[in-house]
Amino acid sequence: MNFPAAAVQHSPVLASRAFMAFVATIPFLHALAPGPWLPLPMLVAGLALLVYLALGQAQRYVYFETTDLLLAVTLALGVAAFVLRPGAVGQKNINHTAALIVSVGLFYFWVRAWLRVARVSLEQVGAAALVGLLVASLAVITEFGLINTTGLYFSDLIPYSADELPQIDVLTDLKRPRGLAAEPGFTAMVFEALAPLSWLYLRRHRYLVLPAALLVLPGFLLLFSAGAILSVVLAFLLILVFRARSGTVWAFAGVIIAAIAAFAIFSDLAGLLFEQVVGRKLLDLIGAADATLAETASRYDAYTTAATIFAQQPFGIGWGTVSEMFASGAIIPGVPQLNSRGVMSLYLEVLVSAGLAGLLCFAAFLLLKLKALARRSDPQATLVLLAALTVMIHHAAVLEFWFPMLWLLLALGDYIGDSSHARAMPAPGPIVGGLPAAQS
Amino acid sequence: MLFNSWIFVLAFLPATLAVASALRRHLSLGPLVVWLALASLAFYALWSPRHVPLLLGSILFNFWVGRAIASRRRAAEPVRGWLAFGVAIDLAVLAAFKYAAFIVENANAVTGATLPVPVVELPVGVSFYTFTQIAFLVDVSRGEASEYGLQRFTLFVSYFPHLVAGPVIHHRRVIPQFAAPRFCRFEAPDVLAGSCLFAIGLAKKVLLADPLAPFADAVFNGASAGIPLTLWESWGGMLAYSLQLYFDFSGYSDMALGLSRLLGVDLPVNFNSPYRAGSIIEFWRRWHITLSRFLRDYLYIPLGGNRRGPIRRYLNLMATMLLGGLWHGAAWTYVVWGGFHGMLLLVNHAWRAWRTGRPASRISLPTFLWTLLTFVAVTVGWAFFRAGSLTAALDVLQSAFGGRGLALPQSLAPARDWLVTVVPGIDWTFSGMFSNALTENVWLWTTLTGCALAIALAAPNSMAIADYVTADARAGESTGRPRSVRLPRWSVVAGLGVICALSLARLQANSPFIYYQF
Repeated sequence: MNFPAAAVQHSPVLASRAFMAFVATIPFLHALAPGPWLPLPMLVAGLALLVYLALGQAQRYVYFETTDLLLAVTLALGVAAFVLRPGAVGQKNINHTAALIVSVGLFYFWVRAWLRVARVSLEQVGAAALVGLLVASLAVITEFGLINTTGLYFSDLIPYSADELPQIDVLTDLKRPRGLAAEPGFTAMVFEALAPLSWLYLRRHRYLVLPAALLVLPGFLLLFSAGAILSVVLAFLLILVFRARSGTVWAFAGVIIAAIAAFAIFSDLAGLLFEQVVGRKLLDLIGAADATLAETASRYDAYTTAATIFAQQPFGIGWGTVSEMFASGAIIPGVPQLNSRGVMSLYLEVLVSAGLAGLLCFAAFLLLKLKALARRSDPQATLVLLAALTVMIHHAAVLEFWFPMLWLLLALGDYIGDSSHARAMPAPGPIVGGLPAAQS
Repeated sequence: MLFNSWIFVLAFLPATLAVASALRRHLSLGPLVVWLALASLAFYALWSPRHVPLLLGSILFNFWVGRAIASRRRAAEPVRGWLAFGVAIDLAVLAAFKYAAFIVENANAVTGATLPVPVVELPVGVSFYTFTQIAFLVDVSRGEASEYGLQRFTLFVSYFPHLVAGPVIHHRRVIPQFAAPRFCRFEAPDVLAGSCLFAIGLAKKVLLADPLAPFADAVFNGASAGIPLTLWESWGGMLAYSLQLYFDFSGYSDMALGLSRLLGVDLPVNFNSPYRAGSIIEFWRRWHITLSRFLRDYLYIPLGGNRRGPIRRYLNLMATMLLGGLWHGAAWTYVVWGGFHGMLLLVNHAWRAWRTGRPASRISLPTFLWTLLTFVAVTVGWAFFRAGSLTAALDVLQSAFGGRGLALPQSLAPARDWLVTVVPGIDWTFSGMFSNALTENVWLWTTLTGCALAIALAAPNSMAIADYVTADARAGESTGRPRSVRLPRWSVVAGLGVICALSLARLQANSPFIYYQF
């Protein structure tokens, strides 16, 4: 497919606008998706890729680094596992593999190239993230009001691409909103990714910080996502500890922990939260609760079964096999049956699908990316590091690898971290406007 | 419609602001003023649709009378007749809707007649918009008011941030702002201060006033039902009501100021940490400031103020406070409340007059003792303000001052042995009737009132916080760089964000403000 050159020409302005639209649509993980496997961010990124392929630009900018090999090996091990194991390859194997390759290809490799081809400045990324964040916040607050007054979810009003939309009560009589995704936890991951990125814009437009905070903090907190809150706290503390250069920082970290502990112990609200959000799940997971929540029971089941699968199949059972067994009822010799469509953790999914070697490769890939970011001391890298770390921690309890957040953050980390590629660009320009001059 | 309702937060406010912003950008001020007036009427109609014609009629009538007075002034003709006519009709309407039943009941009681007591639903905000317009007519007659167009006058009276529960606004201060350059421009300082004030006001209402309400209700409803109260219960209920009323009304006022500030219009401040006042005189300079100012300018001073000797001054003061009490509601409890404050003011003024010229060191007390004394006096006064009848109010006060012994809450009964050991010689008794409100929730009451009291007495008030967050923006304005804003402290940003989240989580479907009934 070739567009006439006169009709469509490469325009960095249009390209950067398109990239900003991609970032701003990230909250729409399930809402308004044209198809079950085609969420809005994927549609935008895919269309942009097609246009740039047609213009002959994409091929010039997509590149691979040595560390990417680790990711490729992880993918290959998961494919090899189901190709080589006895038993038929099911539809879900194909679907999951395709989804994984498309997600990684589109959201990581293409986004990394797109940032360069569009010469997107970090401030533009921040502005788009802020728009996305405000959209997500408004959606959560609005849905919270709707469900707790009329009982209506957004999914009752607009199409969602997910067929499982759980309804969960919290704090005795409140209903949790889902936002524009199928579950509150998924929307919380959007906040985790976009909130630090939005600071790339807000740091130069500080008059917006307070009004934005008055929307974003309620949006985030009203999701009542225990995983998100724990991930944010852990990520903050990890960065504080890694960056600690004085006793003051350690003292500050200690004060935060003490404050959280005091809140958890003495506050009635924290008591309810602990009972119904965080602690209940923890107690369920260790089997100590009197009664189990459906959500935690299935999670407990998923994690224990994943451990059993790994013990029996240390080289993995292939991408999508768990889902295939659940969907079709297929029985694969030597593989325990799991009563859900996934193992509810990205890392456990990699372990089960690609085996220990796959998980090690994947972990090495992520750690190398984090290390590259952690070595830099500029605030941009710290913000991306914070976002990436938070999302990675939360992925311990969220499987969905086809979400764009993690891959976008990794691509962004490469973009701001690798100055050699910036120098090698065919058309050098102010591609990283928010960076110190030495970096661009 | 309530400020603290989802329909307001999610639908009315965003739609009103969005359209106002678009009109301001693309059209002249006229359509913008009309839009805001229509939005204000819609806001009122959603709460009280049957009373919209009354509001519109009142606006048109006062506008017409104002015009008539102005034209007579220009022609150097006497205007007293027109002014008297306008004010009389306004007061007659107010009396018909607010005081008719009260007047007939008392007439029946005094004369022994059996006139049927009319049942009239009180139009929301009628006291506020009537007083606002009376002030306008008086100022027109004095030549102190400009002539405004009908559109801006309608917006002035019906302006939704203040319409139903104040603050009492003054035309000279507000109407010119409807044509000011920053009107609906959504400039940085306005957005910052407006959102900050709205969030603080919402938190005051939802997180402090509403949770305190059950404690106050339990005590005062119990007193109305004739149930004897203990000392603990009476003070618990009075203290809870003191704080509930303050956070409810000042929360409403903060939200009103915040909403108006978002539109680029400054409304007058209505509260300035009143419970920190060191005297009753100071209290009335900090509590419901706009009403105090109105009563001073349009009642106390026309009565003669302090220009005709001390006796006349005290009489004027007492009359002003009695009428101020009656303004709040058609019941003797309000009149007694006004009279009680009038008496406190007389004592306070007399004390000041006596103290003048005497060495201060001999008669001074520590500041906190004056503050405590003032707070206790005000809290005692609230018993009349809140109680359903004078009997109930006196019942609460009788218990509060030991008229029914010194019984402790039932929930402290397990500590009896310890108390006997620590303080021997007292026959400790335990009783309590409110098994589900006060005595069984002593710790919740203690936490809530403790926090609320600490905030009322020690925390920076909402205006100080709003000033703080906008300080740099305003400094930027003076240098021509309004966007050069330093970030407020993280603790302020995070704190406001979290209280906003908690407020939204606790937003109730129907929790009207106390002052809506006035």
